[in-house]
Order: sequence, then structure tokens, then C-alpha cells
Amino acid sequence: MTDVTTKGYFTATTERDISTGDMVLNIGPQHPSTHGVLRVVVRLDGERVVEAEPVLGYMHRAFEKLAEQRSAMQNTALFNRLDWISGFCNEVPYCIACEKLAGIEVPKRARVQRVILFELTRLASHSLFCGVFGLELGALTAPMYGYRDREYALDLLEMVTGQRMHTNWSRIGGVKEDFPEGFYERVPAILEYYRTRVEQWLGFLIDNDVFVERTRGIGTLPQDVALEYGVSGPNLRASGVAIDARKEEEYLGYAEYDFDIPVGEYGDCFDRYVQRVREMWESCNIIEQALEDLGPGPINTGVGRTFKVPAGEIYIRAEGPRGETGYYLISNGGREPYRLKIRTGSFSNISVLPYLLKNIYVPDIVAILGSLDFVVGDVDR
Amino acid sequence: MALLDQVELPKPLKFTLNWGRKYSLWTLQFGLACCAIEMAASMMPRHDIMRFGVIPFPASPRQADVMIVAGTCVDKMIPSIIRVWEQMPEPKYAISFGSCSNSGGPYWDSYSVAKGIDQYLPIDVYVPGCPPRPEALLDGIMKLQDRIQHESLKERLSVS
Amino acid sequence: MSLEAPAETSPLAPLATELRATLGDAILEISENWGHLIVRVPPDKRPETLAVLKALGFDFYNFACGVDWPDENELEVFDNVYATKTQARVTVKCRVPRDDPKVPTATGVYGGSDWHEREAWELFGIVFVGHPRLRRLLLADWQEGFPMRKDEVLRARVEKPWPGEFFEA
Repeated sequence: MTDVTTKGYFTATTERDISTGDMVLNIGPQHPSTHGVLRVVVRLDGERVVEAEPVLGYMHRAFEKLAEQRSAMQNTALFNRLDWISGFCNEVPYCIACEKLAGIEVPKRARVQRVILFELTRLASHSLFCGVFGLELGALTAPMYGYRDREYALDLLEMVTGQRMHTNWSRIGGVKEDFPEGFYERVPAILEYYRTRVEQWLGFLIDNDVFVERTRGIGTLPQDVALEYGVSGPNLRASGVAIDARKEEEYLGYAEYDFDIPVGEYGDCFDRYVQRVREMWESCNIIEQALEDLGPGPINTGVGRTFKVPAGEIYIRAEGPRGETGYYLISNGGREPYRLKIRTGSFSNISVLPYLLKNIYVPDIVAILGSLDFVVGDVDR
Repeated sequence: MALLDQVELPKPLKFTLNWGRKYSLWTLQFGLACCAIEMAASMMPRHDIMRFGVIPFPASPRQADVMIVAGTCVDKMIPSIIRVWEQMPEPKYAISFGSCSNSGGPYWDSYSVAKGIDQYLPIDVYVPGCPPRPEALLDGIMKLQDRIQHESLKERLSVS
Repeated sequence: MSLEAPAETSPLAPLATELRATLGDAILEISENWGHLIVRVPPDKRPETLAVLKALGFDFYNFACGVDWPDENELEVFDNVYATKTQARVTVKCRVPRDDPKVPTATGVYGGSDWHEREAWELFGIVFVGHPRLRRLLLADWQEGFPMRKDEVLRARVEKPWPGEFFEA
């Protein structure tokens, strides 16, 4: 239509031959909202996303190849840096895999210490998520609260391990050292603090209309798609599938503790946020029960320096804050693992991005990326 | 600017100019890996880098003074890092935060990691650690501020 | 590594019999390893096996990876799938010769195998026939070779070996 009728003020037609085209926009790798160096190439039709493709590899450090060069005991230091926000949670399944293949029984005190540190790391990681998710949506005060809350869990971790993030504490056969003096006295106060913070997080953002508008109904992940792509962790549970490796696998003695698995309803960004806040509450419960469960005993079975993992293959997984972290270890009896396949939660979690980022607006890209809570080190390994 | 690279400033003026520059550093948000979390923690209420005058907000390199390269420098990312560095206007400084950007870190033998970002950029301050504590970053910022205080802008700008 | 077939009392035995009944000759070996089933099939039967498993309730696609066996001059492809209702886990393995590593793709069965196959291709060189767009995922464009193969050495370790000590028994 090429006429523009100008007769009369209100009858002017505005349909003209306007040729439009799609614009290709490159988000990242250096971008404040991509949680690290993830690059997303989106094709836009105006303000709507037609197609999106994540480009990975900007943090590919070749963990699997490096694991083949380091001895079985040296590898624990390496795996902290996979999901770098929750360092301790990545060492544990690897140590369990080596211990199972070698037939080593971990003493109970070491097992319980691992549970306590694992759940403390989960608290730290979820606090960070709550803060950073607010930042993604423009609530600039939220990360201040999130990082402040995280510091309390990091204080406890530092008290035990000496390190805030990459703890390097789990050893094949147990843990490195026992709890220091004064640890038990500090924990209840910090758990009390986290419990009040959970209630505050639930009210801080979800009473905010803008937050609800920006997250309700955005990025809905249906159950069958999530399962087919291997999505795990809080993302999967927010979509309504109650899978938690802590309940399904017999590792670290989680079967002895009484805790619930919260499950979401729709699987949108809002549900994923609430899911993680509710999991913080459950983590506090687990830590309390684990502290009572802590009896006297050794904390390491004392594997020697010349330890070699016997031949065999095994797959061990753990429920990390991002999802399922699994190690498929193939050993041929040598000093180094023959092949170690690292299955990380974030890699599978963002493989659904081409599905989720369709027919949405540009600001929703940021909301969805934030709600999936991935870490690029986990993705690229 | 046309004067600064030809004339050596008199001492009081140089002191004032450098004093103003060192206490108003703006850092580019350039966290790559784990060290980014510690760098962000240094900007948050407990460690508070803003009391040193360092404002961590610019996401655009065009407005930044300091680039803190925090995290592993993977070969695939190096062109982006160099491009961002070149987009920053003079006078600019770079801090290498963490052992991965200092020297390759725990991935020194990886096939895809650069053995230190100083192979590509001129670095002013190296902060060691894996990851360094936020207090270490504050110490690094103080050392950079020391450097800026004693800097002569004529030497810096006339060379380039 | 010698792995044994599932014992009659094992909870995986009915699954093993059902797989044998459905796939028949396609299965080279079924064994049980640490509580999960390993099914070895020839490479061209990979999508069929995965489709049968998906119909049997294995809805969660975990990962696919490659392994290099230079002594036997073969590359191996693993697929790990999980059933959420019964909590059973199956690993499907196929071996291909190193000179001509071609395996049919599983993207028609499980959408999640898309990225895992791309990664296995760029790291090992295993070509997944029928993949919609087999291209680089993690490596840079200028990276040469297939880094995860055993004959690719890390240059940094060759130029200067690690100066620490390894303790030998």
C-alpha cells in the first residue's frame, strides 16, 4: 500500500511500504548481565526475539584433559573451580567416586562434616543468586543484601577450611582436618540469621509488583522439555519434577536427615526464584540435624601418598546448588584417571536456552538468564 | 590535553591533579571467572571499595579508568579483552587480579588458556591469590593509587 | 574390565530381559556396574536403542561423551540416560574405529544430545551422522586437532615438565 491519504485529519492511513528486517544483536561475552563470559547471539524483530543462540567456550579451560594429567589426589584441588560459587560441592562427588572404586569406607564424622560444609556452601550460593537475580532485573540494592548474607556462610567456611571460595578440603578418604574450636557455638546464630533472611527474601522481592510482572509467566519451562535436555537442580524442581539426588542416591548419609523437597508449579522465573529461597530453609534444617549427628571419631581413613584408584568405572552424582554434578570416572589402575567425564548442571541447564528465548522481549532475556542461575565455568569446564 | 603531553606540570598542580585522579578511579566491570565473585565481594558492604573512591559501576569501557582483569584468560576470549582495552581512553590502568590472569594459574598446562594476560596488555599491579581475598584487591588498589600519585602525565602521554 | 551380567535377584534384571527381548541381536553385551546397566551396541543401533529406552521410561537425558582407546584403535561413545520414576540408570556404549568414526545421531530421540554430540565431535573427532548442525561448541575457531585424544599432548607439559614430585610405592 503506497498511498497516504491526507484528506481529513482522522482518516489518514499510515500503512506504507516499510521494509523491515531482523537485526542480529550480539550480547556479550563482556556484558554485565551474562553471569560471566557467555555470549548470546539473538535475532530480533523489533523488540521481540525471533531466535537466540548461546555461544560457549569463552571459559573453556579443558578440565577433562587436565584431570588426566594430574594424579587422583591432585584432582580435588582442580574441581573446586568448576562451579566456582560453590567450590566445596564439586569436590565431593569426585572423592566419593574414587572412594567407592577403591572400596574405602569414609568415617562417619568426615561424612557429617562434608554434609555441613556442603549445605553451608549451598546457603552461600543461593544467597548470591537471590542478590544477583534482583540485579538482573534492576533492583540495585539486592546484590548488596545477597553478598552480605553470603559473607556469613563464608565466615564459617573460612573458619574451618581457611579459604572462602575454593576450599580444597575434601580428600579421598574423608576431609582434611577436624572442626576448629568455637565452630559449634557460632553455627546456631548464623542459622537463625539465615532463617530470618529467608522470610525477608520471600517478602523483599515478591511483594514488589514490578518484580512479579517481570518474572511471572516468563521463561516457562515445561517438564518434558526439561527432562529431555537434562535440566536438573532447582530449575527442574521449579517445573514440578521432584528429583533431588540427595533423596535418590545414597551418598553422605542424607537418608538419615529429615528434610523436604520443595517443588514449584509453573516453572517460570518467579518459581525458580522462590524455589531457591525455600531450599535455603531446608538447608538450615539439614545443618542443624547434622550438627547433632556429629559423633566422635576420625576424620580421614588415611589414604597414603601412593594411592592409585583401582581399575573400574563408576558414575557418582551429587546435588549441587546449580544442579546435578556428576563424575563418570574410568580408571585403569594408573596414577591418573584414564578418562573423567564431568557432567555439570549448568551445561544442561542452558542447553534449553534456544527453546526458552523465543518470542520474548529483550529485557526478558536477562531475566531468564538470571533465573537459570548458571555459572560459565560449569558450562565450559 | 594538548598541553599535558608537552609540559611538565609544576609540583602543586601535578600533586592536585594526580590526587584527584587517584581518588576517583572508575573500574570496568570485567569479571571473567571465580575472581569476579571476590572482586564483586570487595564492592559490597563488607569490604566496600567505594571508600577508596573506586566506583565499580561503568559497564562501558569508554567511561572507565581501570580494568581489573579478574579470572582465567582463555584464548578464545583474548580478542575481546584486547578490544575492550583499546576502547578505554587514556590514561588507563590495568590490574591483573588472581593467579589465572597473572600467569595462567592452575591451568598453566591447558591447551586453551593464555599464560597470563600480561602477554597481551601492559599490567600495572598484580594481585596474587586463587582467589585473592577482597582485602588483597583493596591493597592492590592502594598500590595503584600510589603509582598514580607519583606519575608524570607528560611521560605517560608523550610516549603513546 | 570384566563386567558381569545382572544377577537374577538384581532389580535391573527385568530391564535387561526386556531390552534383550526388544532389541535382540542388536545388543552385544549387557552388564551391571555399580547399580546401573551398561548396554553395548554396534554404532548403527544407537538411535534405536535410545528410542527403546525412552519408550521404557528413561526420560532424563544425562550426557553423551567420548572415550579414546588408542591401544584398540577405537573411539567409544557413551550415552547416559536415567528413568525418573524407577531411578534406574543405563549407559549405552558404542565403539567405532579411529580412522572412520561415524555414529548416527540421537537428536531425533533426545533433544538434549545436540550439544553433547557437538562437544564430543570437536574434542574427539567422532562424526555424528544426521546431526542438524555439527559445529564447534567450546573450542576456539583456530584450535587445531582433536584435543581430548590421547595422542594430543599438552605443549606446556612437554616444554617444561611439572617440577613437583610424584610419590611411588
